[in-house]
Amino acid sequence: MNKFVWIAIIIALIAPAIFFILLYNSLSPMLQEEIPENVVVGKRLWQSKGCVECHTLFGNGGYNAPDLTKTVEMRGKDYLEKFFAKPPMMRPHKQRKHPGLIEKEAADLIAFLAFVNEVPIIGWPPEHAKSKADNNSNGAEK
Amino acid sequence: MFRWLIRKIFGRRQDNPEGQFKTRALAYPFCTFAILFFGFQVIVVTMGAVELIWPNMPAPVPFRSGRMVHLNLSVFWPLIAAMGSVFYFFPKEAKTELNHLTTVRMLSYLFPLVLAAILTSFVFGLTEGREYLEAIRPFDWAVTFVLLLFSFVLTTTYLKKGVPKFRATLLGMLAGSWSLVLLYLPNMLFYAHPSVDEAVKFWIVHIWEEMSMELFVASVIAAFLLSVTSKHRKATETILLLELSFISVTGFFATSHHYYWIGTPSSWLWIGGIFSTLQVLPSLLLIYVNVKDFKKEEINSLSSAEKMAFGFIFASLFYHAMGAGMLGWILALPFANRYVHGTYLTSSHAHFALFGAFGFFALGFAVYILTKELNASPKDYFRLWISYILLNLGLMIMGVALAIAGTLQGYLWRVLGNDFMHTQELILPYLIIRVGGGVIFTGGGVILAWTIAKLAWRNKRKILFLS
Ligand code: HEC
Ligand code: HEM
Ligand code: HEM
Ligand SMILES: [Fe+2]
Repeated sequence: MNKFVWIAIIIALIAPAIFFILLYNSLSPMLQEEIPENVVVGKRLWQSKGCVECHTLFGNGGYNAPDLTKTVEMRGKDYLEKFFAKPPMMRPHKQRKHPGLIEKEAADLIAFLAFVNEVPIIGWPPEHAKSKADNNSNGAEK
Repeated sequence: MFRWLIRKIFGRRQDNPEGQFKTRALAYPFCTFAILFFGFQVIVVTMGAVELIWPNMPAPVPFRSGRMVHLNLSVFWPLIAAMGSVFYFFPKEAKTELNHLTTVRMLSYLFPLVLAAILTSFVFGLTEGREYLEAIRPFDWAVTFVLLLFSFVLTTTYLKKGVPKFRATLLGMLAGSWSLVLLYLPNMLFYAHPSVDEAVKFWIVHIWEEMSMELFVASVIAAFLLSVTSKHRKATETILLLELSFISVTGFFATSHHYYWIGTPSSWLWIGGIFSTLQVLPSLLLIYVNVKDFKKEEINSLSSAEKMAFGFIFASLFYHAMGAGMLGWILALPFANRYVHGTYLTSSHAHFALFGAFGFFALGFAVYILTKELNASPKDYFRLWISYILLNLGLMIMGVALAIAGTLQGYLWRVLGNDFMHTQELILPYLIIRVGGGVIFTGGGVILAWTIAKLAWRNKRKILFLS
């Protein structure tokens, strides 16, 4: 019995060790990457405003607003600047507007979203979904 | 001096081979608070779900804050109840009283207090902005402190002389407690790179739940079975040991099913797919532990509290296999995940797994400990069974409605390429059904919390002063 316990303990220690080494190996290029100051400011802003409770990034977050991983590519920066400066009604709300941002904040946040947009992701989001969204109408245009 | 310190930390051995362990009573406040938080959660959350289908509802707090409250409650109240159950079963398994009684008592008030403070801060819009980990920095320290105290008490008790060091139940609980602390610490830092941030976040969202909590669940259920049925200790412990090893391997490696699309190399698709498939095994083993040489006649000789506990355990095992195992496995297959990642199907799985598997476990043991030790009346048991049925029914409706909504969403949005907001309108009927399920669920939750609150109130002296 005691032998089994030792084996279990060793397994329980080796598993995380291998896992974290593999993960570190995958993440180390990103850890070494030079990240521009305004992207970091934008990320802090994204966090402090709690955007993740409605939106997803990389598909993780709240499920009742569009995923923003590829927004910069799909919408373009001008569109986003306008969006934050004059936020539209939040569909399907009739009274509540989307949270707005002042110009400087918007610039930082867009820089952050642009950075996210450039993160290489293989095979996601599914391609056709991305291209078709371009042609769809959106609250901002109303 | 040194001796004194050692004794202060590790305590003296108190022999108590067969009798009742007094320090078990320290579990009561944990169980009571966990259930009260649950009652609070279901009320808040139903309002949030109504807001999703009726957006113009005048809401007292923004959706954003409400969701943060909901997510943090869903992580922390099952943990509070799990702590209580661990403190309840640890003395018997260790054959000695717990150490540091004052610390445990303090902990049983400190943890709920910290949680209440965190929730209050959300209402004021303070947030760290990372899903499930929204508590701001000072609260992170408080949570770390709480978890450290928990591990400290267990460890020093374990190290006392005469404690059977090779008991799988004790080792499982210890490993669970330390992994909570170790995985939380890196989550207090700020990560500038969004991919790194996501990766580290899942050490909590995934590993805490699917490893640490699973370790508690497996060990506590084993300890419970050993104490109320005639199961053979050696056989049970051998299976438990196998299971604990499985949980620790798959718990870590299956984290990869959250690393598919966050900018990590595609090798993670393979690791995630394979280990998520293996991850279904521990939940099957857990069922095996329970069903193995289970004697039907034994059910009849059980007390009302024990029958109740078995009811909750079976619900938990069912959702373990179905909501966590099967649904999780479908989600974890990379080619399926590509289309349903971040849809309501994930939400369905989250509710089936987090509430179905852990919620029922946590409620079950909290209810078991309180009803057994505080002499609940037959009327109380009747109410609790009603709430049990309502919770199951509500969860089923809610989960199935969300699963349909999510599958449709994956198809319309990810496969056909419809606009996201347009898809949202199309799946609205299912979100309405979800609220229907939620209301039934809330009914069950409120009855349960109310019954337990009254029971606790009648016994407030026992809970507060252990007398
Ligand atoms: C209460 C939920 C909520 C919060 C909080 C929220 N959003 Fe939104 N956001 C939405 C909804 C809903 C839409 C879709 C509006 C529409 O298309 O009608 C949207 C749309 C957007 C869009 C346009 C996407 C597109 O492709 O058209 C951007 C960009 C955006 N949000 C950024 C943000 C940022 C940045 C924050 C944080 C400051 C934020 N949002 C906070 C709900 C929210
Ligand atoms: C009355 C019952 C409940 C209702 C109506 C409900 C409703 C909701 C809503 C509206 C969301 C937000 C989904 C979104 O982002 O759009 C949510 C998320 C969530 N809920 Fe619940 N909930 C209930 C009970 C519970 C319980 C008891 C638990 C766990 C103990 C739980 C765990 C979660 C989790 C983990 C999420 C996040 C899901 C994800 O991001 O994938 N819920 N719930
Ligand atoms: C009882 C144990 C489990 C709990 C408590 C649990 C909980 C959760 C939660 C809360 C989420 C949502 C995460 C988020 O919002 O970002 C999630 C996602 C996920 N879970 Fe589980 N889970 C469990 C077991 C499993 C198992 C056994 C598997 C696989 C076999 C699995 C596979 C997944 C996958 C693939 C996702 C990501 C879905 C997506 O891409 O959006 N889970 N889980
Ligand atoms: Fe997971």
